[in-house]
Amino acid sequence: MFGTLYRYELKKILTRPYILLLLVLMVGVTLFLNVKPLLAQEEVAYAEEDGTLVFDTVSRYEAIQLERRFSKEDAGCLLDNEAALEMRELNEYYLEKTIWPVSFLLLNRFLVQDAISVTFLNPMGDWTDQMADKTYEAIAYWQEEQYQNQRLTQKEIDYWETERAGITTPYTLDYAKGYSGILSMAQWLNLMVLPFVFVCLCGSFSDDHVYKTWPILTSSKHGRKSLVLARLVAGETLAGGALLLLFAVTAAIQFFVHGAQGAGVPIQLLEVENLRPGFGETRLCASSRVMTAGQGVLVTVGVSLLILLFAGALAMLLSKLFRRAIPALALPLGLMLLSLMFGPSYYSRMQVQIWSYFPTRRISEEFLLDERLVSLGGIQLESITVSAWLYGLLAILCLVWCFWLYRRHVVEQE
Amino acid sequence: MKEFGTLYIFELKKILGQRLVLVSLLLGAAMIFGWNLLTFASTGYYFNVYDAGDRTVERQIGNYGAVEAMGRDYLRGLSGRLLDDPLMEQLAAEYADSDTGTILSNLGGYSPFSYLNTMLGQEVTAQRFYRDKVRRFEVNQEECLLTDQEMAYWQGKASSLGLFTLDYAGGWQAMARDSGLLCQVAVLLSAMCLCRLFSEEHRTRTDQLVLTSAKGKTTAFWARWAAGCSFAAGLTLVLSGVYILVYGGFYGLDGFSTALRLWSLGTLPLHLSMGGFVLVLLALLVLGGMAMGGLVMLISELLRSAVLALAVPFLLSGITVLGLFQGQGRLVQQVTSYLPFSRISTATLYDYFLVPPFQLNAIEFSVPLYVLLALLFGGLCWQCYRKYQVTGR
Repeated sequence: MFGTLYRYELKKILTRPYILLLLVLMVGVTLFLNVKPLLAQEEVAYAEEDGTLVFDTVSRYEAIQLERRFSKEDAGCLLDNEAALEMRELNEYYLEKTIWPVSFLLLNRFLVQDAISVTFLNPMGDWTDQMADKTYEAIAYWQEEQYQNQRLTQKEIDYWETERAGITTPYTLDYAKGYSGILSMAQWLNLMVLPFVFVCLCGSFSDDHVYKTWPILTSSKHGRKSLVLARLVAGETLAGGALLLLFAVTAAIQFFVHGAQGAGVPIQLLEVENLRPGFGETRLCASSRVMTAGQGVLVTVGVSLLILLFAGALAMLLSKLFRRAIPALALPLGLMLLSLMFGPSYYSRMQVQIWSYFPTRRISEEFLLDERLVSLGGIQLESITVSAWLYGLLAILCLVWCFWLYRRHVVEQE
Repeated sequence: MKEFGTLYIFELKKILGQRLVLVSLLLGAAMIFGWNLLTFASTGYYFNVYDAGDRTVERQIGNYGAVEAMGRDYLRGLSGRLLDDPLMEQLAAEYADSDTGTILSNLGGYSPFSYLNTMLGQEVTAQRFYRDKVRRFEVNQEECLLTDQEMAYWQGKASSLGLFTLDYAGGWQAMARDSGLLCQVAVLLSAMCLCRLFSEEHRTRTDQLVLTSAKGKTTAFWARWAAGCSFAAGLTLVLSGVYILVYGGFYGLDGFSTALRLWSLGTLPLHLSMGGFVLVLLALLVLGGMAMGGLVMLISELLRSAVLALAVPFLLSGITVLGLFQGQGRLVQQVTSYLPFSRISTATLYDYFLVPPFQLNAIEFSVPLYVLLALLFGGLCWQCYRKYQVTGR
């Protein structure tokens, strides 16, 4: 019976015409956000195998394919002084050879120059022959600056010092732009699905009250347990399913364009772009985490999924609590809006930390950079662990509360 | 006409009878009051402790309320004085005292003091201040995507600005600064109360009864639409009144007639007083609220769904707050700047785009636009309403 009711509840949600329209719209926006940057034009320079120097203006998609082509040669190599010097000498050789007064960076040793420039160092800087060592020093500098930016306590700094001592150097290079692309999209997918879930589920329980069907439903054979469980699971399926669908679309495009290699690259070599024009990118070299690109994506998707499951549970709870769809929709949307409009004072570390756990704020470009720990009974928990427990427990709490309200609100108790 | 009046009052009563209306009013008032409490309790780097000996400024964490009170007392002492060369000279001389210098360095919200703070130790005159900072329209034309005509228009406005009379205008400045919050609160709360107005008839299946009645096709529709629009305007007016009272209570209402350009935020050379600018924003809010109310009623009738009618304004507001329209080219930026969430905010102080053919600036164009949009949404809503006939199903 549970299975039948579950399918019925899911169908009930999905057959509303505007739900499908919104789903299609969200997939469309996801496609647009993934594809739009690929159409931009950029200038590239590379040397062919026969030594011919090529300058060209190509689309970002074509540039990525060239980056991938040249990255194959360096994939699996270490970022050491020797590789950095070879890259610089190759560029210098062609710079001297060319008759045009232009400066360029060849795509031929793309992985090496990209890994150096992620720290804001100029890969062509001739002030040192130990450029890789300088790169690791720069990474350490950014990591320590992050401690100051986030106002970490000495205890937290000690924790992250121990953690980052575990990062294996020299880094093994690979082309991991597909993973950066997914991380860049995560915030926007999260922000899109959150209101969608509230719109879809705000009427899930209130409709029974509006149409006065609740006395019949709660008096029926399967109305007290199977029905409410089926409805709750269907709501959570929609919330999680919508998010996973959008992540799947994103992953498919990103892996098609960039390839799926590079899952083992340390996150310190990744850049997370802000999709808003003019907002630049966040460089994860400032992170002290021992984490690979693949793990970074899995953690981000996982926490995002838990946030959406909590949102789904909250939407159904509010629907049951208020017995009307409009307040059940207006309250969470209003709170979401306020959390986007206002931020806490930078000077209060506590406010900033609490604010960062708000569903609209948690998944951001800085998610993997968050090094503020939460002390719980003497145990230092890091932000990812806290996020997983917090949203997981809140989701369960909302579901249990909703289930309890439903079971309590029956004809004999009215 | 009599039937219209009766139906209008009936519809208005129906809207006002919702529990949500009272909740909205209380919520809106609580948010305006709560935001001020939070602001006054907030801390930041305010106390720029000034040392007159070596002319250095040391930043210190201070309380917003205390800093505001310090500036208010000082400016009230200068109330009504014309900012001319002797006064500018006197103000510059006051930096010789560390305590007064500390107060002056905290008055960056007022353009003459912001100018004095950046020119510390250099020769300053009121003439130079007016010439360099007030009567010169200085923005990056390429970055702001402005035409030569727009540059000339604003330069013309800037050149004719008069001398400033000093006064404390913290209350009106704060009202203009936080107008974005008032707009969000007023527009979204009125949307919350109006989103069911038309969809409810479809849900309760009473549309058939209404449409087949004698006055159901036209009079009943326009009475309901007018009631919806007047409710949106009424709620906005009430919240605006609460807004002025609360800000007056926290800051005081002096400085109404000080020049808008005395405020250092924005470089829009409008010939408006500070209080006048706030009143213009509030008037635009009433019109914008009616236009958004019209849009909500249109969606409510068109899609027969209260949820979507409420979700659309929230979505528009969210996109504006996230700044997703920025950097998308002049056309997108200009069109979306007329969303009430953007227009009734400090963003207007940076909106230099003009609308051809009459070269109307953003404020001048918003007035007819909102009125026309409210009527257009009403007309479209009526079309949908009339099309949905019993015989047409």
